[in-house]
Amino acid sequence: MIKEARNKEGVDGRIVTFADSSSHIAEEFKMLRTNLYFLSPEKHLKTITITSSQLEEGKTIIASNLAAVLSLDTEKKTLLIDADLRKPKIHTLFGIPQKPGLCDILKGSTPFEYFLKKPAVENLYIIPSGASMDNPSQILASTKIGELLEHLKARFDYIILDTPPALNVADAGIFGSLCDAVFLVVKAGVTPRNMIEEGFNLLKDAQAQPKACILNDVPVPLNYFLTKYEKYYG
Amino acid sequence: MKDPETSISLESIEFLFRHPLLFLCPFIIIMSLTFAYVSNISLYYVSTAVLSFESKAVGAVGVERQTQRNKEDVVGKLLFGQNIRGIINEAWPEVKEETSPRRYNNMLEGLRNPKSGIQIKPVSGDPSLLTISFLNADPDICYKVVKATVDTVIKANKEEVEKGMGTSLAFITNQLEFYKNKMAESERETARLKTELNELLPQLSDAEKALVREVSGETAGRQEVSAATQTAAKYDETLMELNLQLLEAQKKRKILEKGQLLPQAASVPTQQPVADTAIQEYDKAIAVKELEIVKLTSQGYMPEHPDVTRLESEMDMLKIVKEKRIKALTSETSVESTIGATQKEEMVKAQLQDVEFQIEALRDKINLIEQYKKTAKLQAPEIQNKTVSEKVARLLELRNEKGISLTYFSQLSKQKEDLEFKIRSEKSEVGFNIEVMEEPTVPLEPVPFQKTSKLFMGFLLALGVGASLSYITDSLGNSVKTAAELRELLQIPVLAAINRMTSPQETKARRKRRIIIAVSLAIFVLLSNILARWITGGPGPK
Repeated sequence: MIKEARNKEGVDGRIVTFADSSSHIAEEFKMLRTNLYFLSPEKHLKTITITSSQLEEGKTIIASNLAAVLSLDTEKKTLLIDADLRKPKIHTLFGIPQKPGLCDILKGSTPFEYFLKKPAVENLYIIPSGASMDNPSQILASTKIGELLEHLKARFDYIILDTPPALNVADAGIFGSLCDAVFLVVKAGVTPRNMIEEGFNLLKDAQAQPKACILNDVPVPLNYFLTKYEKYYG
Repeated sequence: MKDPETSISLESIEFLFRHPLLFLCPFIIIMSLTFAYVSNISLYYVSTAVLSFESKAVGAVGVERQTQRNKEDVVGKLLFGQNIRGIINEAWPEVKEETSPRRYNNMLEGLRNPKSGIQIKPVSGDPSLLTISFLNADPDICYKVVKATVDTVIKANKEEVEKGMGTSLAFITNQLEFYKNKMAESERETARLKTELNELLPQLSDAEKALVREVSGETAGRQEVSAATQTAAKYDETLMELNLQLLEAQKKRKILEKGQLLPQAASVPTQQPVADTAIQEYDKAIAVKELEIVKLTSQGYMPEHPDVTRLESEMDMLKIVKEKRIKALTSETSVESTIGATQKEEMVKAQLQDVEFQIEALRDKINLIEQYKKTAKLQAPEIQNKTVSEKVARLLELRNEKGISLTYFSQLSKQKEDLEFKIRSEKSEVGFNIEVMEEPTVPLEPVPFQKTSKLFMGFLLALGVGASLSYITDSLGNSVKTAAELRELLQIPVLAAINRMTSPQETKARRKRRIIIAVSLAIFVLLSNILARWITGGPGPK
């Protein structure tokens, strides 16, 4: 259970890496970070798209926490991009303004350097979604996003993109094809198998590279309560 | 790469946590129903009686050979025939078969039901005891049913006993009555004859007077005439003995004519039926009957005389019973004779010759003694007055009859005593010697209700149903539940299994939902309790 709704900086309590770094869930994200290092030792995965098959599977929370846990390493720069142009949430989680953001960069109204001046939260750089657009797919289909990512790759060690669900819109496929890896978030006990497979195949068809998946919303194991974990982690 | 699953244990019951409501709701519902049942169940009373089956008479028919199951069967047979109707009439007099046949039949079935009806069970540790009990919400009904049952069992058993061994007893009782009447009649007639003879005395000579006085039991002149009468009586006794021996020999001859060896001739030592106490008793009784027949025939009674035919039928019956007993014993021992067929035939022939010779010799003796008797009678003084002579002859006859009747009466009394003792102490061929060791009483306290065990059973049921529902739902779901399943499905690594995160708002909402569910369940528990109370009419006896 999350202790507080928001911390002093206005970060949502669910971003446990910042809000409650000693909790066992924060430890799970640290474990995720470790596993990420070992996923592709020969090729450093710099750009990662986080998506899911359907809505409400927890991809934004996962993406935010992954970015946050990667940003804990002060020697490396981490950027979190809210690539869900339809239902953006990143700005609310971190308590930052929605505008300007990705849409503004793609429209050309705001240069991307604007977001590189200082980290939005602690050591984490964030590009929110920006002003809402009528037809985001059209902009995403252009080469602008690819060019932007190339610029950003040169400046960041990790770029995490939070994208819409793969089965609902094509955005995840577009971003995934431009990134080094796609991580598919699956909500335990909820997402049907056929939908997981369908989302996975869609990403593959879009030339994205779904390299790993993350199981979310797993019930707290019984041994957590029976052993000393709870005391140990508080 | 570290496997996220390694931290998970006790996976086998994690489905309960994935579907907590599916587990908890049936669990609480069943437990609430169990509570309602336990708190509102009717209280039952039980009345018990203890019956004993004495097994003192080991030697006779052998109660000890009867197993406990036999006893239960016997009681069940006595009880569940037509006799059970008497129990209904006793316990529920208002229920009549004519007016409410359906209810009556239901009650019949209810009483016969091995689980909820009249219970007949052995007492552990004492095979001679049986308990009869009945469970009901009404203590009076319990008592009435058990009381009526015990009475029915005792009565039916008595009837059964009387049917078997009791037949002999009834016969002996009749015989005793007959001889008693006969003796009384003889007494009356003797008294009348004596009065008449006394009136006629003046008309007689001295010798005649002496004879009449002797016959009438007076002392004068007794010594002169008593010698003649005593001699005649002695001849009578000898004749009786010889006749008995003749009968015995004739019986042997019959057996030999059938081609059977006499028991004493068997070369293989076996347990002979005649060694049995019961058979010896039967033999004695048969011999007594034979003696009676001989005496009657020696008194001039024709074989067609009712007394003779009755004695013969009694003797036949005793013989049948004896045969049965011999058969029973023979089947138990079942020792095969090893004598060869030819050798056996020769032995039978030899025995037959011996017996024929004995019969001839006995007949000669009897003829001889009868002649002696006639001669002795001739030596006695004769009375010229015909009326007086007839009266004296009749008086003598009556005296003889009285003596015989008295002998029979004492023998029969002894037999009756023996038989009554047997009936009291032994099992007859068809019944038991049943006694009530503990009378049923009206139960004051209800049967202790196993509340804890019922609650425990309810708990187990609730646990089972809740867990089953949760497990079935979990198994039937098409979703992915574990990292292993996901890895198998997509064939890519699972980087992490992140536990459920709940925000304070979500926690609040969840708490609210839980409160609503808890209140709903509490209302359900309350309603189920009220419903159970309404259905059962509340706790306490019904």
